[in-house]
Amino acid sequence: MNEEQFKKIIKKSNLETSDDFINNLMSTIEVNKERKKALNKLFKITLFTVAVVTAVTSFIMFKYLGDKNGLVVIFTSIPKTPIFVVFMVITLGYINSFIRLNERNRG
Amino acid sequence: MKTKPQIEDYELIRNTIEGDTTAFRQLVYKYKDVSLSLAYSILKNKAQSEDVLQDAFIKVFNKLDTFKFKSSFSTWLYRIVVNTAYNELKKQKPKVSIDDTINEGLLTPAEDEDHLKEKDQKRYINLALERMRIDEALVLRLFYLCELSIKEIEAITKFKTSKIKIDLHRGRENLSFQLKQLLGNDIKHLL
Repeated sequence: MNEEQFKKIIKKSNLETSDDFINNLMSTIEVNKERKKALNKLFKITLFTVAVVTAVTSFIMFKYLGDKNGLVVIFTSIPKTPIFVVFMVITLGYINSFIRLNERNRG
Repeated sequence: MKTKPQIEDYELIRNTIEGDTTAFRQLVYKYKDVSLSLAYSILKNKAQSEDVLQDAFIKVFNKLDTFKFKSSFSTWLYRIVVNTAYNELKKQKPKVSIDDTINEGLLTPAEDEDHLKEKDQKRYINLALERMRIDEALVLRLFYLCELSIKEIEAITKFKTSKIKIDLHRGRENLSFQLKQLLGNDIKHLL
């Protein structure tokens, strides 16, 4: 067989995708777009919350940071249990939201 | 200098980047069948090849803003398709193909017909290509179906020039051999 004959034969082998290929692809792309938007929104909310909590924590630290050592003041004058509970709740909340973010990203 | 199809592709890419999904639809329509044939050369299974093609087009859509307008879109697309198909192949366990393939019921030589129907011709040719080594079938399709140069094939597959030339040579020999085995004298109807 010569070059032209090979070309003719291979051209005949060209396959065709299923009829709904493009529609399926475009709907997957649309779903991914929506997911990306939701993810961005969630990320912004998380970022905003982290910023607020950091600002509040900094303010509290600053307020109690007088002439004395700030850490000493916090640990001696503030009840430890409620602070610990609040801290744990916030931390677990963040861990939860990051896990959710990760799952949505994979999903 | 850019060719007319390249300019058309660039226009469609720009429109897609600006948010026009119908432009991307047109790009997919233009390249989907050839891309499927390339993926099929590697995976030898149509359903899997379509899945891989979906993934490849999604990657293309997401990375379209990184496309450099210096090269041809088809070369860039085929590289993504070929890489995605090879990655899928690596994940698979070795298996004997011809399960849901396009060649069902055609494992016996062609019989009495004066000429093979076009559909059957396609099936026999694909069966012959399926029986060949992956690299050979892929290089043959890139060279004859996509009409790419050896340099372009090199960019897509990352094979060395010498390997591409050898695969082309052996691929041609093997294809002739497989078609002769499948069709006997009916091979003349393909030409």
